[in-house]
Amino acid sequence: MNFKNSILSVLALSILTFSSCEDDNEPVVMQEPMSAKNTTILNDTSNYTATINLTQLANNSALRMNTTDHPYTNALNQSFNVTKLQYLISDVTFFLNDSTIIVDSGYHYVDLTNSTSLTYMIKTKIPAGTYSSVGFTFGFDEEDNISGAYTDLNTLGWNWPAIFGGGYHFLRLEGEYLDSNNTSAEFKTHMGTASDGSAMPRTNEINHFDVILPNSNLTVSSDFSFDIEMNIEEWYTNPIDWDFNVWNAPVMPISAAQKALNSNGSSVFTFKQQ
Amino acid sequence: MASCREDDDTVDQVMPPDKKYTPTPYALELPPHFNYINSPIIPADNPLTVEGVALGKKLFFERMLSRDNSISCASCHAPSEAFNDQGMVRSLGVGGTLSIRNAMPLFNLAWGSVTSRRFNWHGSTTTLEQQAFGPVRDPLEMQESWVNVASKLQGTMDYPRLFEKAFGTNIIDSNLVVKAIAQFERTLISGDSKFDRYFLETQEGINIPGDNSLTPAESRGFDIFMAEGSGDCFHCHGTPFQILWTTNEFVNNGLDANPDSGLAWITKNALDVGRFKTPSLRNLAFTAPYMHDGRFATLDEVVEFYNSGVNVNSPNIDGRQKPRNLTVQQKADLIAFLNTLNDSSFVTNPAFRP
Repeated sequence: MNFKNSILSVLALSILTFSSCEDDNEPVVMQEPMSAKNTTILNDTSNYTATINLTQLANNSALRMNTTDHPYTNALNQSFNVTKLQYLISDVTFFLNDSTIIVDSGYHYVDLTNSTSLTYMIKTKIPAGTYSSVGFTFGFDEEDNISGAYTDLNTLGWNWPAIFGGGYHFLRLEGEYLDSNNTSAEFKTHMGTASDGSAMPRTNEINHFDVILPNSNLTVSSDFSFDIEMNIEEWYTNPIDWDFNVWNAPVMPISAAQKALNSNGSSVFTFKQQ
Repeated sequence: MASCREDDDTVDQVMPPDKKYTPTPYALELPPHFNYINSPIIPADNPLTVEGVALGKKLFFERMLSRDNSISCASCHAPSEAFNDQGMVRSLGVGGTLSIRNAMPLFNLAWGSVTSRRFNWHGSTTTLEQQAFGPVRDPLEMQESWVNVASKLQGTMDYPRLFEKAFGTNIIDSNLVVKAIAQFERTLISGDSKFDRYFLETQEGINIPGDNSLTPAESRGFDIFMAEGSGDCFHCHGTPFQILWTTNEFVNNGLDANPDSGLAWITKNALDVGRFKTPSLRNLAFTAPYMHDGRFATLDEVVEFYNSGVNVNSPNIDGRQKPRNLTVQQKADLIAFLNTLNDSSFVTNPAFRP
């Protein structure tokens, strides 16, 4: 999954472009340094607009927010509902069938109370062609997760505290679960830098993850759109079954919880094209 | 009314003699670190002008806005108290009527709607212009009709001329009055506390005279403020990069088992019962008493409430509100940090006085 690690040397050369999230509309085209071949022949040399719909699923249907009951269950059969969902994706990446990748260096903040945030038109125009898959970074990678660097996110208070490693939140997934006494209790699953307070001094580990969406091959020959689906229950299982009785709130200072979200996150997202 | 003449002079100086309506754009001066957040929200139909701001200030201190010409906006929003009501739990309207809420302090309002898009404790309005309509006609506040206000102002020697300069018409109506007041309110920027200076030095490398380092207690208090699992204040009250020290969101902090309707009064949504606008933590030294009903006289009481006094069964309570189990030392440290957010230059700024 760590596709960007495999092209680290290219990244180093491209760091200026990569860390700018505001104004670069030109695609960043990269090739793996070991590969000289680029055999894709494109008759259509146009670039097209990609529109991403951010959708959220729970129990195989569209997520229902603020329900009075607890309609969803995690892998430990604990019932829960969702009252808040905000998250951040960045560096949407298109993989050509050869070794070329196209990275849009922007980021996008999703808040389910703001319907316009559910659509993300990336700035980079995507060249016509056949792509083997689409990916993105959940949260910010280490080049981009710079404390205070994004005014819109600062304004929202989306910062991750410096004492826990700084940068920004990647996820706020909140709701209520039925605890071991069958009483409704709140959980606040916040994700960002994994900070370990048991170490002296406290250690902080980067905690974003790269997603290559399964079955996300697509052919681009016109402006296009696709869905990135978040499957809510997957945050709480596969491989680590999340126990709301143990990890409800706070989880920001708990390194193991942060890493569990990272591990579980790899199966959270799916691709869909109409 | 000597103050009015001063304002008139100011406006006169910027008016070219040969033109009637040429308002001068007003450049909002922002502290350098305010570039960490979005630009202030200035409505396209009410840009800041020197003449508009000056008129707005004059109107802010104008007692003719009340039924018996006894009180002005400033009566309950005093500049020396960060535009709060001088220690009053609830403010007194015309004839001594008691309002139902503690008067909110006024500063950094140009960002007041960036997230929640609402003003007032219970979110009753979505713009500053709209907000200014309320107190004049409120039966517990100024108890006046806008028709009367316009008529009284129209009948003066100076106001028609000042409206002409600010808005290009000497016909005074309520829409222009609230526009001018909102312009003035958007200039009320507070960003020069000890913590601001500390931030500018440590984050921006800007040298500022004096010792702006945090004491050990203030520094520990900041960590408590920022740590989920400890004080965890920042999720609602913002971070150093967020500058405003409020997210402006509406939250039920668990004051009462049967809370005031709060935002639900406006939205009619049961999920909003008990939710009030999260106030900024700037200038707390000037804004006691605290909470929407002014129930806490001191910061010690406020911190102890969050530490041990939250009504966890309050409907729609924010899930963070549970006993924090801070020690005596931690509570003192937290208050020490909060007091680094006081901005003395804001409350003494002559630009905000009549």
